[in-house]
Amino acid sequence: MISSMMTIFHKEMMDGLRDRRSLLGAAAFAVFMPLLLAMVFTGLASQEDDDSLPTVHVENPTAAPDLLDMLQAQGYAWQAANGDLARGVSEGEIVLGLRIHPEFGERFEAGRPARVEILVDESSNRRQSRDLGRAIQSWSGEVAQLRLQLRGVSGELIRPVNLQYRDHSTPAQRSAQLLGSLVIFLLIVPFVAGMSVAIDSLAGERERRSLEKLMVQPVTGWQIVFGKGLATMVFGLGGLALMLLASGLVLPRVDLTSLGMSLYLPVETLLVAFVVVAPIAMLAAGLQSLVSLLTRSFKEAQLYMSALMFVPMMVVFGLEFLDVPEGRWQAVTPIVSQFELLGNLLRQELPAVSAMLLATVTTLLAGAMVFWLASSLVDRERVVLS
Amino acid sequence: MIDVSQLYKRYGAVEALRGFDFEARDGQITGLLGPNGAGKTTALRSLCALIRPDRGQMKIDDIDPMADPVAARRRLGVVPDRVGHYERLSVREHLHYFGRLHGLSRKQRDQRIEDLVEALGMREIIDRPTKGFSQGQRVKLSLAEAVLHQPRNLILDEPSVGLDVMSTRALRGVLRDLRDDGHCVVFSSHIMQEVTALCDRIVVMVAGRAVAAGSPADICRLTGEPVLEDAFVKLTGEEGIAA
Repeated sequence: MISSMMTIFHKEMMDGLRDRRSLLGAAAFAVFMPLLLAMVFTGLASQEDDDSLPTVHVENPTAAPDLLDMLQAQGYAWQAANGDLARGVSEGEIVLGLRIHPEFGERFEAGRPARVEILVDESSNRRQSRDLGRAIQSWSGEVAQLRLQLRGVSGELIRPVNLQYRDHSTPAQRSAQLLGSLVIFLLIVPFVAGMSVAIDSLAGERERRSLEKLMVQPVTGWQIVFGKGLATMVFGLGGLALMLLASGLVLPRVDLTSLGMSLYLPVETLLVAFVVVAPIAMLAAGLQSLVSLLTRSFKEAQLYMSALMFVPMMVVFGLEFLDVPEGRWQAVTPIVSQFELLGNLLRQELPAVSAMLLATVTTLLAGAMVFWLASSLVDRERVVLS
Repeated sequence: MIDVSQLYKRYGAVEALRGFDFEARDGQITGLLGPNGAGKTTALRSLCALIRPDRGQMKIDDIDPMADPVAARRRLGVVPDRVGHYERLSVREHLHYFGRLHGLSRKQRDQRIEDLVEALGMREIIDRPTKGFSQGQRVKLSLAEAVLHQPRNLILDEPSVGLDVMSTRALRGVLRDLRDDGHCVVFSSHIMQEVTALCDRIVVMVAGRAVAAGSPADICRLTGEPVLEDAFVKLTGEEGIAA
């Protein structure tokens, strides 16, 4: 019984490994995605690195010499604006514009609020505008304290709260946040890498009329579905291993010192990640076998398989954006449980063995159910002979 | 030996088999002759347990394919209608695959493959991937796959469609050898001359039923026509058979 299944598995592996084009496609996804992430991270780091302050274009600079002295002391360069400041900002020629009201000097001297406006395109220079605003605010606070002191009042009175930030996040946690996108790819890669084998071995064989020949051999429906499904699974696991390998080789090399972190992906983390995601390969293979059997043609199978790949993506995005409350169901729901476990793992928290077991067992059970459903379909004449 | 009685099968509004009776004995080549749409493929697929008849009995060497499809298929070699191959696998790999599914050892497979390469003249294509094979090469491979495990019963569904003269001769040679070794060979066709050239016994099938069975002489006698072709025309009526 088992030997017939292994014979079919062996043949599908040989056939699949010779299909260079789909093999290359699956490998490309597994390798390209970590490379893409590395590129994105490098870009992020270099953006953060760029801490040179932009030149402030000032309208009416003579009205507020103290303010401009302060900005210069903070490291800002400034120059008097010529032409229309607002247009320069909206056309992107000027990063930061500062419009000092003509009555600024007068009102400042009189101790009344004196108006300045920051002109900025917040869609692209939000950080710069916030920094400039903060510098002016804090200078304004200092001036207020001085004014009170001059009038014999303690400046501390207008500072009822002494607020300080202390960042307790560890570099591992910060790096986990960045690596969140890797989690999505790790959950998808078994689907991508197994897809071509699943399509070719069932929908493709039926279309090329070789499935009927297999069905008249002394084999049962489940031997056919499991033998072929096992090959799909092995390709899925291969894709997963390749992606983890590529991630482990590439991502820790990205220099993220400017973000105050380093991507940390030791071999142990990669191995545990493989164990955590591996059961998804079985579920993916089962679902893909089912789809491959139910569709009428190769092309139709391709269409539905691509849709199937979005299932893990939707699950992950749903969890991230819908703010689902923590509950017991997450720990036993395939893909969701792996998502949570991978999150822990990338924060360098080794998940509890019991949680891993629970996730693995429930996912394997779900996979077995889908496989059982698929093999019960094979014996239906409509499926094989259409 | 293959024995079928009172087989019925309906697909929606279409009655494909309407009380089909059929017998094929060991040591004979039995031809199943009928026009397109007579139900030949449905009948042969029922024998392989690929489809489930609505009612009726079937026996392959005393095994009911509905009750034990795997055991029945062990005793069958099948060349299905318009069959496909694996483009990236060579002929030899195909034969090892099907040999393993039938439980042949490595040594047995090597020996049988060698015999079949000789018998079917496949020396040049044995290690070539099947992509781009001609119709004749495809049929040879299908036949080799079907007889590799030396089944007691061989079923061929329209095997000679699109074959050239040389391939047809090789095919007939193999089938006659199997018959002479005592195997039961069933051969479906809608081409009269092919059936008369090869078959010891003929079953004429029309609209899901066997309308006549026997040797070519029996069929002539049955219809009262001295020429076999006229006998067929009389039996099949307006639906006709390709001459």
